[in-house]
Amino acid sequence: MRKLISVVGILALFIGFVLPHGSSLGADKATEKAEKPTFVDLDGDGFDDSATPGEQNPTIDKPKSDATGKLADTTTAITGFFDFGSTLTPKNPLFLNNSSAFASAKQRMVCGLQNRGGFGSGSDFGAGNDIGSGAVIGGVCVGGVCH
Amino acid sequence: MVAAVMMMIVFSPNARADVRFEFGLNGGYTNNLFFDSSDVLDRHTTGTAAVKYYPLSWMELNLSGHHSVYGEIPDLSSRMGKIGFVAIPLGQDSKLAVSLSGSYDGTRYHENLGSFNNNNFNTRLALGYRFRPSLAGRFGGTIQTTSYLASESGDKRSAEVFAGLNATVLRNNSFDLEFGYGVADYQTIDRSLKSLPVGPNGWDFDAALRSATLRSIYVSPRLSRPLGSKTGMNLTLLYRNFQNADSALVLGSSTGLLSPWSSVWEGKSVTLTVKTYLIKTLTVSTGVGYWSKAYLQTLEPGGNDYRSRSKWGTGREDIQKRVYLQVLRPITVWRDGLLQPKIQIDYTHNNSTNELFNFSGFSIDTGVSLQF
Repeated sequence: MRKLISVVGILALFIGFVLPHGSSLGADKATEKAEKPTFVDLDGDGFDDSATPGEQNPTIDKPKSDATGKLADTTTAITGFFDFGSTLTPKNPLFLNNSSAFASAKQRMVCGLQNRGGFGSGSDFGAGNDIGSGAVIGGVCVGGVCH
Repeated sequence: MVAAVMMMIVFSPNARADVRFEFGLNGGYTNNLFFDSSDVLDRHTTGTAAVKYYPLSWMELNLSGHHSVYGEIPDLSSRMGKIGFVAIPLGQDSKLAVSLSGSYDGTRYHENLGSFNNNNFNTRLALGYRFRPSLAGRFGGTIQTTSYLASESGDKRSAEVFAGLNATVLRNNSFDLEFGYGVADYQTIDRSLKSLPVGPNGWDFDAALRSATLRSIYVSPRLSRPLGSKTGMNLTLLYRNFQNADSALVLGSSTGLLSPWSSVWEGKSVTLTVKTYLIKTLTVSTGVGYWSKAYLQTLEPGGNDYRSRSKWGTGREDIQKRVYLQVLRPITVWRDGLLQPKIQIDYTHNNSTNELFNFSGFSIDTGVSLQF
């Protein structure tokens, strides 16, 4: 068990440090350093929550999904847990409707809307659960039945 | 009073109030439906629907349900309904963040499995505070109640508190540490009995139950970071320990398909998950996990000689390994809708001290969801 943890951890860190991080490829690093907010990952998916949603998920021209999979509805929202003072996006984005505003707020509170080791029903790891959801319970659901 | 406030919110929406819908249809096949050595093959289809209403920018009221149908074991088919709310009242400019949520759901099975019909109530309050741009803390609590309609033997009431810190270290590494403590009221077999009570229909297991409290602590560190511009990963560890489970003896569940105890275990786990957008138009997630679990001892109705108290209780300790792969193809539809076909595969291998749970299982699911 300890060996497995050690090997996996070292491997992950090695890969992470060897690979360059996102937008630093070919960018003007001095400009980027002045403008880029602190990297923050509250939902544990490995992507910067304070980046614009389009930067996070290039597969669709939409904002990143919130904790329930529903998409936020603004590309200008600050999507960190709190307002991290990004200089790239407006501080108080305007939302066309309540669902957009709520999706942004919910993403800020994703850490509080779930915890990782309670007496829960046990289906936080596996397909259908976002990778940062805790991934520790170890249950599985087949159709409506969860183990 | 609370009802009056809720009614005011629901019927006094502001001008930006709106409704969102979500529908889904999934089909799948598994070669081990029960996740035990019986290796039962089955296919299933599940339909889901949800509607979410946003009367205010900080409140969501939701109503959802699903209906699952199984091919080979139709009695297992079930329907579930759920109603809930989530409130996040403070604005983005505040360093303090608050969320309050609650839900009620009920699951109903066919008549032959009606003993597993259950109702659940969950409520949660969480507070978060940003100390610095790279450091945030959180504290929260949750209360959950599970009630089985046919018998109280699987009922649970639990209260949990948790606290965590999220810090960014060494440029773009996110380290998250969470602690938790929980207590749960449950029904245990009274070990002081010299023999099980006998009722008009034989052994009366329910009459041997008494109330007890289970205490649990856990700690879970998590490291997450990007791997290049289109890939993210996390490594999550968990250690959970029951403080007073030595005398716990719950009624017949570990071998029951719909066991109320199958998710109650102590032990440790490590998981590595990766999500990537490297393949154009696709979102690919994969994960591998390792668990070492010790379950509560169970008294299984049927087959045992209950006259001998020494035979009360079956232990179970598992070593489980799992791997999964999920591929999504998000497609924007209409102005802000999302159509999302998916396919996912999952493989589990389990070694157990209880021979019944030495198994391997494979499942494949495909489906589509529509959000608008």
